[in-house]
Amino acid sequence: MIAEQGPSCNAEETFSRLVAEYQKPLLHMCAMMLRDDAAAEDAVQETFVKAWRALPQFRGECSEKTWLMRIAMNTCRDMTRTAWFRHTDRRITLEELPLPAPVETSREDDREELAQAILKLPRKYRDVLLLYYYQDMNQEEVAQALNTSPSTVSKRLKHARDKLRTLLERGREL
Amino acid sequence: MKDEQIRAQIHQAVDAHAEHLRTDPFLAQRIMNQERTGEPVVKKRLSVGLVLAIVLMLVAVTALAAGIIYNLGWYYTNRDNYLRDNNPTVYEAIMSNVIENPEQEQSSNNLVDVTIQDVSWSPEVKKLTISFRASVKDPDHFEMHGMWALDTDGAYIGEGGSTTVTDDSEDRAMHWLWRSFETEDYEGPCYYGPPFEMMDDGSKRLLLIERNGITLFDGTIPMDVSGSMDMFRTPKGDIVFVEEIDLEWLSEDYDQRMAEYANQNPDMKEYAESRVTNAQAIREKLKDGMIPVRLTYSVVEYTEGMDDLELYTGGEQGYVDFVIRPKQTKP
Repeated sequence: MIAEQGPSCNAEETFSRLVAEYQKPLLHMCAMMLRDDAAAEDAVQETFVKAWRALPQFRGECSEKTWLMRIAMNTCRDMTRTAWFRHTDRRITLEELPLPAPVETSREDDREELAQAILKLPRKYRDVLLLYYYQDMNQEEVAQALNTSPSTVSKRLKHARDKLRTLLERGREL
Repeated sequence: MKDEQIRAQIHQAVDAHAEHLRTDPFLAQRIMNQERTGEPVVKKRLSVGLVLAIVLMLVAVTALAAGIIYNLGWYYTNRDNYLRDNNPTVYEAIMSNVIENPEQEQSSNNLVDVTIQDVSWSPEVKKLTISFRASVKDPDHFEMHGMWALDTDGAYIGEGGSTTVTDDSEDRAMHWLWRSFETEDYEGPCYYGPPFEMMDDGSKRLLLIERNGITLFDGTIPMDVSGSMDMFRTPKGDIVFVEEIDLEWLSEDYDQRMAEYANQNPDMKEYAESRVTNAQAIREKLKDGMIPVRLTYSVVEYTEGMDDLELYTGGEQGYVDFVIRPKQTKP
């Protein structure tokens, strides 16, 4: 916990550790949430800027991971609410169209199929799914990060799993 | 399947999907350095909100006094300075090609006046940039917002939709209006709520404007006109749209790339070839030194409980025709 180390005595060290530990999983999660690589990079940087500024006020009411995820979720949410983000054309270009799928599916195909299914989930389901399964947070922590109740998280998780199963082709088990 | 198995699958799927992304090994140091060299965030015990309010008020007063025109020059140095700071080649090309008040003609409209403020045709960076302003004709009785400011969080389900409103706090069956797409000198609330509660003056009638599309050369050559858009509301209540259109088909490299794509994807050959044909036709037309452009829009009056079909497809349709003369844009 950050509070145990005392942000005032060694904030730089703590911040450097947070960045080293969470930059990659945050980047991956933001890319899934925003569906835009460049926006994800911006979101991660913005998240850490906010975290650095807020570090002196962090008192350990929740885990540092929950704290950081809450900042990241709000940052991504704010970004998706800007007109520029919403109206940037994310249509796939002709050059980016996928090549015809091979007859046999590989393990990589299954992974990408699952990733695509996650991307198609409505935002509120995608958020809980990524925090719970990808960030390995428990339902209480997810609720704190999303500023909602654990029961709402539980319901959304169930719906997210159901929707994922529906979205996955070939009826493969999740 | 157990939670742990699902967790492992999702970990692998997300990591594989995003593995091409690279982390920044100097991110922590860069942020700390930037924060140190920038203005201290909380230096004095003055309320940050108060300081911000004073600054915003000063900016607003300055803006009013200076009679700011929210055109491309303002846009790229105030609202979105990404290009200026990160891609100066594109920024300078856009700025150097700006034409103010291009010759234009608009359809008759009872509700709004529209103006193409300025336009920049920048073939060297394959961009067409346009700023478009709309003002209500009768500001005493009408207040206008962008259609994009309606239901931006995606939680609106509506009456008779495919899904029903549940006990989830994010679901709702009524429209909400956002007040965050404003200029930085906007001092009002930055949140959302029932439209008439979010207006500057809820006793007025609410107009929503949507910019619908752009066609080049009277639509005679079908070619995708796509890119990025932004919309904001000025302190005077005008709505400004800024549009950046990608013109990748301007260069002959495009033909080559399409041909390669067609070779790799025989089933897409016909489509790729038609794109090349159209690109070549547009390049030929450009030799005339004149590009006619039509921008279409719609304005609808929002009323409580109105039918969604009417909201999204009704209202007054309008257009502005304007002409870009690329030869004039070159020094």
